[in-house]
Formats: sequence, C-alpha cells, structure tokens
Amino acid sequence: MTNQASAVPGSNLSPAPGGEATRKHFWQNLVAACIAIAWNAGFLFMSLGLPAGHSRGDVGPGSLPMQVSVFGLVVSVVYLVQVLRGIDFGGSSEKIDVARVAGLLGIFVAVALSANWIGLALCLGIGTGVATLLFPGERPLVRALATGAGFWLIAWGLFGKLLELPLP
Amino acid sequence: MDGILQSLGVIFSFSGLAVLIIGALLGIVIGALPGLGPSIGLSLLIPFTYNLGPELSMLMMISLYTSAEYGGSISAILLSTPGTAAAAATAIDGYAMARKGKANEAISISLTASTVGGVFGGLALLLLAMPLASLALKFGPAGYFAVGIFGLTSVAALSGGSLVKGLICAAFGLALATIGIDPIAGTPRFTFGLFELYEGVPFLAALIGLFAVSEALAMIESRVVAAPVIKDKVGHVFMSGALWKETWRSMLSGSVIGTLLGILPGVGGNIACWVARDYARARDRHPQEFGKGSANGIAAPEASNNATVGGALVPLLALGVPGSPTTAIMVGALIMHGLHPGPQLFTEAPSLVYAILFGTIIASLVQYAAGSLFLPLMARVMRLPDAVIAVGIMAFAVLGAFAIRNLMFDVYLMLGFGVVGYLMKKLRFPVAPIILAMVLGYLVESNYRTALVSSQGDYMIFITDPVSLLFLVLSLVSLLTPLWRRLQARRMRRLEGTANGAAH
Repeated sequence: MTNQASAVPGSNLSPAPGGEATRKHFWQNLVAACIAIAWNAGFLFMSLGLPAGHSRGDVGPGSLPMQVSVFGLVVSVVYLVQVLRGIDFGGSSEKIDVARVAGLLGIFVAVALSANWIGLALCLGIGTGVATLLFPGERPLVRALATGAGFWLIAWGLFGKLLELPLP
Repeated sequence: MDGILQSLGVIFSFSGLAVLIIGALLGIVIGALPGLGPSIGLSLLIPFTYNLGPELSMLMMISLYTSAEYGGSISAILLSTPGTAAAAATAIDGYAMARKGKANEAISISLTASTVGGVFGGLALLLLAMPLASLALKFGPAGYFAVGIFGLTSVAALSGGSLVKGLICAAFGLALATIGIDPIAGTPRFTFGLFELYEGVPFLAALIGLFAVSEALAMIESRVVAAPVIKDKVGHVFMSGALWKETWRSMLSGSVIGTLLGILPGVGGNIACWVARDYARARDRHPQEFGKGSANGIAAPEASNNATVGGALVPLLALGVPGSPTTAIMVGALIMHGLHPGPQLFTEAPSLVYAILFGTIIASLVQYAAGSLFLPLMARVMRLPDAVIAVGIMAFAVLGAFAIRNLMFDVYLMLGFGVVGYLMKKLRFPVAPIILAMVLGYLVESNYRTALVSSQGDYMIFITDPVSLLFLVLSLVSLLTPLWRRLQARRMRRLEGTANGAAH
C-alpha cells in the first residue's frame, strides 16, 4: 500500500503534519493534481472542436474524448480536494538523482538523434558504453568498453544482419 | 480438428520448440532479476517477434510469461528479494529454507510447483476458453461495450493504494486511445498533422516506455539488496518422493486458487500467492513451520502464481478482454499481427488459438526442462551488475521501438513515455491502468458507437440488452467493492479507536 490515508480533521489548505516526507508528498501530489486537471481541461477543449457524427444515432468522433476528459476532470478535482484536505497519497521521499537520471536519458536521446548520421548500431554501442559510467562499480572503463562492444555487436549482428532490421 | 493438428505441428516443429526454449530461458532470467518481470520482458520482446508470425510469436510470449513467474522465485529464495511481485510470498519460506543450507531443495520445490500450477492453469484454459467463447459470439455491440467496461473496472484492483490515482491513469489511457483516425467516421483526432499518429499512439512504444524505460531510469538510482546472498551452489532440481508426498496437496490447492483468481480481471499472481499460502497454512498439520522454511510455504504460492497464467488467458481468448497488464501486452502483440483477440479468433485463426491453448501447457513443461538444465547459469545471471542491466534495457527499448514501424518517431515517443512512466513511479501513480485503458479504448468506443447507431441513438440499449446489463452491474460491483472494503476498514478503525479511548 503506497497510500496512507492520514486525513487530519480540521486541516484545510495545509499539508498534514507528519514530518518532511509528508510535506514533500503534499507538494508532489498538488503539482500532479494540477497537471492532471490541466491535461483533462486541454483535452476537453480540443474534443469540443471535433465535428459531430454524420450517421443517424452516431454520437460523433468527439463524444468519447469529451466524456473521458470530463470523467478525468472530475477525478482530478477529487484528487486535488483530497490532497488539499491533507490526505497523504504517497510519493517520493528521497530526492531524485537528477544528474544520473537526466544523464542516462540524455545519452539515449543523443543516440536517437545521431542515429541517422553514424548509424544506430554504432550509436547504441557508444551510448551504452558511456551510460555504464554513470553507475558505480569496479573497473568502470573495462565495463564500459565490454558493454559498448557487446551491444554494438548485438545491434549490428543480431538485429541488423540476422533479423534484417533496416537500422538507420 | 485441422486447427488442432496444425497448432500441434507448429508447437512440435523445430522453430516451435526453439521459441519455447528461448522464451523459457529469457523468462527465467527476466523473472529472476529483481525489478524486472513478465510485463517488462514481454514489452521488450514483442517488436522482435513480428517476423515470426502470430503462432510462434505467441508461443514465445507465453513461454516467457510462464517462466518469468517461476524465475521470480529464484531471487526470492537466494536473495530474499522476489524477482516479481508474485514471488513475494515465496521469499518468506524459500529464503528461510535456503539459509538452512537447502537452497537446492527450495528451488526444486518452486520449479516443480510452478510446473504443476502452469499445467493445471493450462488445462483449465483448454476446458473453459472454448465454451465461454462460443457464448460470447452471441454478444451484440452493447454487450461488448459492457464487457470492455467490465475489463476497465479491473483498474480498481490494479490501482495499488489509491483508486483515485488509478482512475486518473485510466482516463489518461483512454484519452491516448482516442488519438488517431476515429473507428466509425474516419475523422483524424488529436494528430496535430503528424501522419505518424494517424494509426493512433503506437501501443508498443507507449508500453516499452512506461514499463521498461521507466524501470531503467529508476534502476540508476541504486538497487538495495538487504538480505545476505545465499552462495550455495545450485545444481540438480529434482524433488524427492518424500517432498512430493508432503507438498502435493498445497500444489493442488495453489493451482486451483491461482486459476480462479487469474480469471478475475485485475487479480494476478501477486494476490493469488498470498491467498494460496494462507490457505495452505490453514490446512497444514504443522502451521507453525510456515515462515521457518516450510516446503508447503513454497509449493502453494509458486503453484498459484503460475496457474494464474492460464486463468488470465481465459477472458483474453474468450472475451477479448485482458485482465492484467501482461495479457494487455499480449493483446498488443496480436494487434501487431493484424488480429483482434476475442471469440471471433476461434473461427478466424483456429490454429493460433489452439497453439495458445496447448502452448500454455507445453510451455510449463519446457520451463521445467530449461529450469532444470540451466539453473546454475541462471543463478549467475542474477549477479549481473545493475549498469549492464539498465543500459541493456535502454538499448533493447530503442531497438524495439524502432522495430515496430521502422520509424525514429516511435523511439522519441517511447523515450517520452519513459519519462512519464518514471515520474509516475516516483509519484506512486500506477502504470498498469494506462495500458489496460489503451487496449480496451478501441473495443469500448467502437462498440459503444455501433450500439448507438443500431439503436438510432437510444441509450436504453445498454439496459435492455441482458448481456450489457449483466456486465454493467458486474462492473459496478467490481468498482464499488474496494470502496466498500475501505469504508468497512475505516469503520473498524474508528470502532477500535473508540474502544481504546473507553479503555483508557
């Protein structure tokens, strides 16, 4: 159970008492609720622009998106209200290791972007090798070289040649 | 009859056995690696099975799914860290037994029980799927719409701690499912002029991002293995006659429980393992041994989590409704091959259906053979560094996303979904409802609109159609049950609080 209902009677716009973690969860959930409301409101707005159905009885292409976004809006508002009432919906208690997470993601975005220039197999080889350096461990350079060479071989040999995937 | 013979021909061909063995080995490794599981394994595997054709592709996936359920128990026994959520109950007695120097024995019980459970679930699938499918063929669009809604209500069970978060995710998944050309009028929706989105958001790209990439991103933030690793050498995995005599009842009860719970939408091995363990303990002559390395404490949960595989495939094949994230992924695989799961599959592709039905049983037997022969190797794979596993997932994710349509657009989309999935994990939002809603979105919308066109816009068709009414009532029950349980628990807590206050 990730959700610990810890509603505190009387608490309105402030997070429930319960230490740093709970306060952190409050802000995380508040932001998440606002994003959910914004997404559903935006989706509803776009759905309203869709044409009506042509056949008799057809509710049209905008009907389900509209119903889904209204449902999403209602649930998101319920979520927001519960967060504001101080209910702890859980969240990340530890700080996100932004450098590492963004580093790993950034490497693979770079792999995807440069695939058309130097080839996906080579990019993956370089990318995976460099990415292993983000992890702690013994003999990082040897590990990086072995991993890079291994994945280049898998991508080029197994997928490119054997499975005939038209890799860029 | 032709379908049966054709399917058996495919299963027992060289390629059939090869994909079953490869699937089993991959499944055991993926299941044994803590943090990974059948969902991640299948999402990474699907794009590469396209060239195999539907029968071989499904055989490989079923083999991986079944073996991953067993694989989870290896790390549960040796590391006290269940490889999959369904192996959580096994960790208690498995690790306790391994600490007594009986790691080999614990794994042999787990492998045998998993095989028994898998075969039992497969037999149940064989017996139940066809009669249910022939019944489902009589459903109209309104009935199908209600079946889709019933499938969606499993969100309640897949939401973890918070129903409201699960519902937000389901709404997000349904919204994503409406992107692309609409199924009735053919109008493009929310495509922003991008031709890549005309066929909708590529389900597999979303799947790989949400399940696999998010896990790799989470992995870079370190994995904690709290318990000391059992370093016993693991070799043979054959169960002695005495152990058979001791555990057969638990294997049987676990298999029945797993199959029945597997059929229910949203209830999978992670719940079945605990129910089966509790049942076995209640029936055991030495319940005090549970938690201290009881053989039945391993046999019951392991039989149950493998039996859920056959159970979970019943609604998928008979109704076209996936009841779990893993079966939702299999729907994605069928769609990739231009097939839609459901009762019509029995007439459209009988050899495929029989390959799935018989394949589920055979896959369990292959899992036993592969698990017995390669166990020492598997135990070593578990010690692969996180760095290699995480970058491996990322590399296969990139290749897999590209392989779907040979478009780099899908790779960017997959990475985007990876970030969304990672943030959702951090904020404790369940990912499974998104996948389920994306799969069921098409079924729900196309049947909803077809039903309304056939009734000329009269919404009463959803009430007057008996099948629709039945499934809508079941949906309501399915959604309200967790709420009712929560209210009951709150009332109990309040009563306890009042009683404690009075005592003081």
